[in-house]
Amino acid sequence: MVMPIALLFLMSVLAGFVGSIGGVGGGIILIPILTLAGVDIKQAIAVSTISTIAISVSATTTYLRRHMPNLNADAFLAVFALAGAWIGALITVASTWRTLSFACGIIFLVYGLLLLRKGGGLRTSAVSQDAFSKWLRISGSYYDDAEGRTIAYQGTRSFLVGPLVFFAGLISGSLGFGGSGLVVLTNQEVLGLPIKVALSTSHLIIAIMALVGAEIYLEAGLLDSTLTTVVLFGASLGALVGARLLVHLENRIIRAILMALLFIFGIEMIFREIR
Amino acid sequence: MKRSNRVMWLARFDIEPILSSTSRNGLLLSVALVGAGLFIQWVTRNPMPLGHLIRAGSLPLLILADFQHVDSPSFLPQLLTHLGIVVLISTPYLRVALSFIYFSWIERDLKHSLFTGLVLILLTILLFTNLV
Repeated sequence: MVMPIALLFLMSVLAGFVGSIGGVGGGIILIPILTLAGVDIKQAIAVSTISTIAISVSATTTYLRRHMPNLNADAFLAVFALAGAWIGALITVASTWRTLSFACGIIFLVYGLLLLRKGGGLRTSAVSQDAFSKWLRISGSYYDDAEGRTIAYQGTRSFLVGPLVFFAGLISGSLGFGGSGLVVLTNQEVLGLPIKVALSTSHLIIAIMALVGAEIYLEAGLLDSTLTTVVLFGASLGALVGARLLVHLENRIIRAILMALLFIFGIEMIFREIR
Repeated sequence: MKRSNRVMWLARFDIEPILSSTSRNGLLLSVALVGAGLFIQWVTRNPMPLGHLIRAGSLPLLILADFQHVDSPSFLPQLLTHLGIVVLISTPYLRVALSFIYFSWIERDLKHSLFTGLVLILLTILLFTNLV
């Protein structure tokens, strides 16, 4: 591999920072860099799952203190995320799922364009809640530092969210990135959570998906010891800084970062399949 | 505990700071262990080569395998590094376990207990046994 360890450390810090703010894992930055540096794609995916765990755990320390994640939604969706990630990781060990990557790339680009058209501003919470979401008690409130007020919300369409999160787990486990973005999108646009609640709740779910992937890659012997330790160190530091920054950011800025990440995700996933 | 006291206690109980502390301490311990391993490698001028792949059927087996090379100069940094990885992977697992206890014992919420209980069982099988 032709890459100085110091550069890898800096890239990991950046991945951690971007990941904690954008509600995503480290794969979006680390996988292309590692593969360009000559690391095997499966090993790059394996190492990025470690960075994703570090990012998600870092981020949730701050969000949980501020009562942002919805634990009821997390409990329900973790089942689907785990199942999807397990199957996805087994697929990666056996092969790569090319068509899925291309399709997911298109979805991210389309959604990024939709976000661009809708413009910024705080997403309005669902006015009425369906019976299933009410039964799951997906509702709550949190104090938004940037808005300077307490925001109440209630989730809806949870019957759709489970299968979507399963699909996200599949993407995450098989491709190493993209799944976390899908979880954030699902929580925000389908479940109807405010963006900061969607991001913070997603991190709890993303940690489970990455944990499953990491263990399966460990069993398959795909984790490079040196890469893993450097990435773990760097991503943790970057995510700690990013999470502290997120709680003070305005929602329109978070929305812009998410939009940029969606475009990068989409283009990256499409071009991986075209190359 | 009397019902009225329990209701009052429940109204005051907040699981999120506990989950936050658990996540933070797990992450800091993981970073400290990995950092110590990297530091020892640097000080002893015995860096782990790139391409050294870690393989284990479960998290306990990963640590046990290190003790088969106690005489090796890379034993201590490798052990610390692997412990750091194990702690990192175990941190979200511990968070799920605490959530299960919260939903089942404190909230007494059957459905969320079942969700987290199922996740906990599957993660336990995946992480701590060699069955899968």
